[in-house]
Amino acid sequence: MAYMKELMNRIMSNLNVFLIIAILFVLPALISSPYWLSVFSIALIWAIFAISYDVIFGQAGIFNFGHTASFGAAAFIAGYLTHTGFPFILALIAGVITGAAVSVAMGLPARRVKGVYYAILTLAFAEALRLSIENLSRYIGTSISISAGYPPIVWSREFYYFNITIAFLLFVVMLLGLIVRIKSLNRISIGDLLSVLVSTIVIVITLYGVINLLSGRFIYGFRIITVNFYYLTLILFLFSYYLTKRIIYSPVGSVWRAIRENPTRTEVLGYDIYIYSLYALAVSGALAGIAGSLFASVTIINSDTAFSAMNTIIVLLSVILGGAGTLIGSVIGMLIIQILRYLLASAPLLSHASMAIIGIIYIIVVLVFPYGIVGTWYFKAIRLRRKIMKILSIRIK
Amino acid sequence: MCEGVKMNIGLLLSAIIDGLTYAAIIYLIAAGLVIIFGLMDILNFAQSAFFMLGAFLTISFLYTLTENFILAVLITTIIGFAIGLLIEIVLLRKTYGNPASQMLITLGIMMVIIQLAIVLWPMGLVFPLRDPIFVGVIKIYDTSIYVYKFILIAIGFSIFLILHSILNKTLMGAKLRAGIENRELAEIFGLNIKRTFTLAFGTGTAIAFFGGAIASPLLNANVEIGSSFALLAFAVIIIGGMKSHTGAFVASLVVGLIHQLSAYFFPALTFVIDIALMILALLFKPEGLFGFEE
Repeated sequence: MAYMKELMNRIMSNLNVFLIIAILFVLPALISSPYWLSVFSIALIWAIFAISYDVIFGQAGIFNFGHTASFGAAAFIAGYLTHTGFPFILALIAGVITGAAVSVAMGLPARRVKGVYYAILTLAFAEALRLSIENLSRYIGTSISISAGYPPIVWSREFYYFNITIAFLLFVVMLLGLIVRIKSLNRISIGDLLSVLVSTIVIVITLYGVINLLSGRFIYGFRIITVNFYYLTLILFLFSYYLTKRIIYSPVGSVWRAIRENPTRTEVLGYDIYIYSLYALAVSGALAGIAGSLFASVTIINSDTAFSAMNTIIVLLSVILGGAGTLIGSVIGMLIIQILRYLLASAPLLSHASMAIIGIIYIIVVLVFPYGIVGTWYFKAIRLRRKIMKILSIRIK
Repeated sequence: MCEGVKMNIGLLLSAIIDGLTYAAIIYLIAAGLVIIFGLMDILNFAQSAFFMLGAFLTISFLYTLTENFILAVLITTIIGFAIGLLIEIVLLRKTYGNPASQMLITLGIMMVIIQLAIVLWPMGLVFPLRDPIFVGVIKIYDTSIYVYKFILIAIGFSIFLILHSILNKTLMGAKLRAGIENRELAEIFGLNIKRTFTLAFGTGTAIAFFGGAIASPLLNANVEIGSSFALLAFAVIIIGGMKSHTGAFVASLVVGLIHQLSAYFFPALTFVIDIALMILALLFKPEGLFGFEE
């Protein structure tokens, strides 16, 4: 009984997280167009990549401008393995190992090469990979590209029902959490009322979504592929996010932030900066490997899609836009960029200028909000937040 | 030596001329980079985009405004100088004292310029003039070499000499050198650091535009010309020393020659050799051949 109570407390303190995850799990039932669902899957893949960049750039403060090398190498390896018929999980593991290995290899000169020099070095490393593959394809006379296609798991109905089960479990947990919360309230404030209201709405939406998904509308034709692939990216995204969060709030993460703030002092305190930087690069490379392995399923992998310097710039942009070092900021930034990109792509006049517009937004953010969206909310909007908290805590008699 | 490539004197000569041409082009990008980095500590990622834009602007002027190549180059250079001043005053001045975010801004500028170029000129532009000076060839040892390559090499060398004498002989150059050597001290001695920064950024940008303009008869204009030269220019400033003008020139010669010789004789390894050279330089002489310790 005590165990149940402990569990309930845990769920209640993280109720907001559960609400967001539940919405994400029933999203296929809420978005009617398969196009936007696949856009969202791609955005989630890029979000994993953005998380990986936030680990090195936002947490450890390493200027790695060739991060796309790990992403692209993983995409090549995983795409090749999927293409030749290996199960997706093996391809994923191979991709993760490749990503981490490439990232660490790029970090080996970091003991002597620092700052701007390191940025140029890594940029050159990624470009060298891209250009040597291009040279090689010119040399052997055929273009080197892999189109792996979706992994076989997206065809399975079991996977589909497994995800509905998770959505249903989330529904049950949220319902229990809401009941416990309502029971424990004695004097109600506006904030409590609001949170109960929002939770109720989300719970109803979740129930609607689960019923809708169970109706079998989605398990025919191409829809099951889109929906299942979305679930695959979602699960890997949640896994990566949780793992990264655990790592950056562990003692290792504190050392990374210390290196970012003041490397000399960290060194004097007895930490080996080099080893910790390599550790950050390995974690980040592994995450980029996850993103790359998924990326191989949605696009044709060649020297340009895998190793283009634009990939690094896009993740850098998302990290800056959301706020470097805030983790959730990189995810929000990337979702904004990707959704904006596809929204503009369907607009008549702006279809090709989307990245230019995103670039202009990015310059404005660097100038006006140097901490990014989430960072400004955390560090700069203290007064506004206090005001909101004050309004929320007014009691209702 | 690869099999099938017969070593002969004409091929070697052609490779060397191409190498020197490349060196001149790379130097025109790298000169701006070292001036800007030396003074302001900004690694200007937009430099190669400026180079590309210079080529595009010159060719579009030739299509629309004038048939005179020299006039088109002049207009492009002036526009480049103005763009440099504008970017420095409007965007970079707000973030003085924060080189990291200035670098990020130049990265954003690069992205905007490249994407706009893709939108405006999706197929690239072809150099229109067909005067003998642009398409004529000289035959040496059975190898035809464009006359314009020799002109480009000459222009590269003369720009080096002009910049070198400006830096070493004039008061403005002395101020710039003082700023590069020790910014705080120069400021204490009454150097107007803001105006110097603006001037340096404008000059660096103008040189890149000029480079793109005069390279356009050979390269035409497309979106890729920026990125490949950007890499070589970065290699040059690493090898030559991030703040040394002479170093940039010497390293341009080295990188240009090695790049073209490898392109002629080991085509599979073209960029890889340059980058290996740069990594070696970073590992064994991080301050560059002509760099000075801070």
